[in-house]
Amino acid sequence: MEKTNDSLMWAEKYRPQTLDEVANLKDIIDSLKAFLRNPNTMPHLLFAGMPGTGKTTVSLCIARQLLGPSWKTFTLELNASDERGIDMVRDRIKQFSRYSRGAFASIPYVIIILDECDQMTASAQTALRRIMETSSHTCRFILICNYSSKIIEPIQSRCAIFRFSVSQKEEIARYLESIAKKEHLNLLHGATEAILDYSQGDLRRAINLLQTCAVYGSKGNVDEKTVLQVIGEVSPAQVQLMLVKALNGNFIEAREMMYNLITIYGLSGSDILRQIHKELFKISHLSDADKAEIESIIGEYDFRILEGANDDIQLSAMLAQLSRFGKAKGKLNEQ
Amino acid sequence: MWTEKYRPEDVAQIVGNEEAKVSFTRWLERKQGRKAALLYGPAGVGKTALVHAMSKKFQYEVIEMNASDTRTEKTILKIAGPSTTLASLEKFSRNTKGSLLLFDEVDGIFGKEDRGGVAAITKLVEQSQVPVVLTANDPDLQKLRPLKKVVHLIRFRRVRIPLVVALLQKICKNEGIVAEHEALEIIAQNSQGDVRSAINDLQSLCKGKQVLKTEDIVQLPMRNRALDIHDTLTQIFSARTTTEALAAIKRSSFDYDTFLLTIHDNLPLRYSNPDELSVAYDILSKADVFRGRIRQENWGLLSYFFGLLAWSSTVAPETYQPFDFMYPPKRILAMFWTKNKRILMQTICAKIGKKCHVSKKSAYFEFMPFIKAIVKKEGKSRLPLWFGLDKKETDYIKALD
Amino acid sequence: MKVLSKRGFKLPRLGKDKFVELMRKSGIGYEDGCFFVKDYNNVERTMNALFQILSEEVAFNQTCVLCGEEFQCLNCKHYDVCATHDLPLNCICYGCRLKPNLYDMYVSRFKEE
Repeated sequence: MEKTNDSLMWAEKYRPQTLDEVANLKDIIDSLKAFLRNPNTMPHLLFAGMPGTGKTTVSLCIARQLLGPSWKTFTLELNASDERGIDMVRDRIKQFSRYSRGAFASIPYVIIILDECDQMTASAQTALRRIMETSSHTCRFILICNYSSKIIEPIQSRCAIFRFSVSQKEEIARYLESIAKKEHLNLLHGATEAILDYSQGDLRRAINLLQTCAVYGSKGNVDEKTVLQVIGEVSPAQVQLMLVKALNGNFIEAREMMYNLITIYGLSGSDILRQIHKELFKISHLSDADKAEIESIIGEYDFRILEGANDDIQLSAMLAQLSRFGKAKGKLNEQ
Repeated sequence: MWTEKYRPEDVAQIVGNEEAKVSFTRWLERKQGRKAALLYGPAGVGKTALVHAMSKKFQYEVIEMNASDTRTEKTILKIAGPSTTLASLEKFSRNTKGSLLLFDEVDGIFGKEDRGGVAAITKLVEQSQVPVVLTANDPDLQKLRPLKKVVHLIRFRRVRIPLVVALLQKICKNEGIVAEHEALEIIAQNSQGDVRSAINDLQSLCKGKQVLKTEDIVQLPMRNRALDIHDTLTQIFSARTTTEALAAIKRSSFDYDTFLLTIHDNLPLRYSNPDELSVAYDILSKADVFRGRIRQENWGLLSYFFGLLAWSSTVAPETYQPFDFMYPPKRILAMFWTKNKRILMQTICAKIGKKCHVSKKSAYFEFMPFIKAIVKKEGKSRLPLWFGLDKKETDYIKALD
Repeated sequence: MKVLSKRGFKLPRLGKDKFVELMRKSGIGYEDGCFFVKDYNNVERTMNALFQILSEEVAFNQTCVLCGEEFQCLNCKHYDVCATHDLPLNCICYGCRLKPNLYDMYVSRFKEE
């Protein structure tokens, strides 16, 4: 029996191809089906929700259903964070529209999936709105975001908004079991729990973790121990380590790590803060009160990053506050 | 000294600041309108060179008012001293027809304390029978406010990097040096548009070499600048009061961005105590916020900016101990050194993003940790193949920690 | 972000007061129906005024000193290090950067003027 667990990502292999296959978003699917029966009635769409809740999957299903076998040619997938500004987005959309002009006999419109819209500035979103306006006879936009509140009102008012809620534990468990079966994996009891705990309602993360566990497990078994081992392997060590170092007063090393994040990947200050936010809850020895205080420190610097000129200065200042905080807390512990 | 050897003789040889060159030429030709011109902007971009080149062209004798020979020293004393009289000024200018008076780095000479000096120069300008040219570094011209009203202002800016590179290329050609284009770009970038220091850096890096490679630029010596910076930083960090630090900042000719980044680099070296460090950094972060606003709002915020810089350097004067400074600003160098890694990482994330329908950033955060764990465990995994990663990229992922 | 050409750009209709303020205080000129940058000493002030009028960040095209073409800063590799990006200044365009003997070309261009 061929070992296929390492030849492609399961998150892609088991991605539903049609709306019917999407298990747990009944209300959303039903509403969308109505639009799909009459494509010309479908407005622009705004999908909002946490990561791994099915937004991209549903978008691709819609494209597939509306645009036939060559749907890929008539679908443009863009990410706000990958493009260097709204002008590039506009150029790509223009190019794409031009390129697909000939096809409009066979399709109602082309589909433009724009992910991470909430990371666009208000002025970029304003420009986006204009783009949406001028191209609405030939394009439908599916905008994807985590927080719909960060989308400006003029865009929201032009879209049908769908909220993707975090998947329930049982749903994710069912999904994992179904995949495990197909992959000839034996998922032992504690393992599923551990995976659910780690993924926090993010189905994609759960599947990625499962796949990695399959590689680490032996004889096709995945037990709780394996899951915990893999979790240790995959935790973004950099960010958490940087946090821990700062809290321990090891400022200079923490700052070095921050530089690595900025210079090796080219992450912005906001990106890193976002990640710090996610990592914060995983640091077990911090009390809720501690976390609240750290959150307010992060919040202050999040704001300053937007206004300031140098992300690394703001991040360093934040790490310095964490150092002070860590030291003060240490003193409290000694008493 | 290549800065001497390649000193521009001709206006055309000065790179950059084309508008300023035109503006100055027109002013000098017309000889009416304002009697004085103030050329202001960062160091090393050609202000003084332009004055000399143009004076040569129009056959003016340049008298450098801040030269240290006795003839002009007495003159300066007369002008700047407390017993300046109108009569002495008039007499002076009558004796120097066919001359052009040059007050170089005028904001440096007089500093903040000597307001009497600025007033005296302003008077001289008003009364002068000959053209007067002044140069200054301060883009806001805070110190020189009274002067601004009576002079023709000409702004100089940092020279654009491609132009600096072009000049460095020419020098290399002349000197028979083969330099990698990227090496010249790094020197140009590091100079921040200061042509003079770029040429100095080029010269020190090429010492005894016929070939200049990118890896030779491990640490730009920047000998000339380093001394200045060392003195300035020492003054700033060892200052006992904020006022002292502020004076040191204003005296120096370094631009505020370099200051900001340099103080940032050196804060943890100055303050080892987390309490002091956090206070100092909080202040510096506010300075950075001001810096972020200055571009779009008004340059008046600059004084707050300098104040905050000074304050962050003097948080706990009693704990000062001399230390080795970090310079040049780390981030610029760090960005260069990790550039290849950054490009590689971006390429990999783009490939992952394409297959998994996510952005490069999401690929990095959501997929990379798992992919890395898988390929580390299962060396022969076919996952990289599916992503379209080549051996170099796969090896890079395997080597990540 | 709005990209403008320093030689001539259009603005939405301004009231008389705003127009006058623009001419007097923001270093902008007006001729033949087009606005242009007049005062190069204080372009930051100009950018700020335009930012307020257009509610968008403004970027000016650069003019190539060698071939005269206008181009944007956006794709330049030095963007992050350049202190004056997007200001209405001169530079060397991406095409010309690849040519040899740039300095000589620069010098001869300015000798002509």
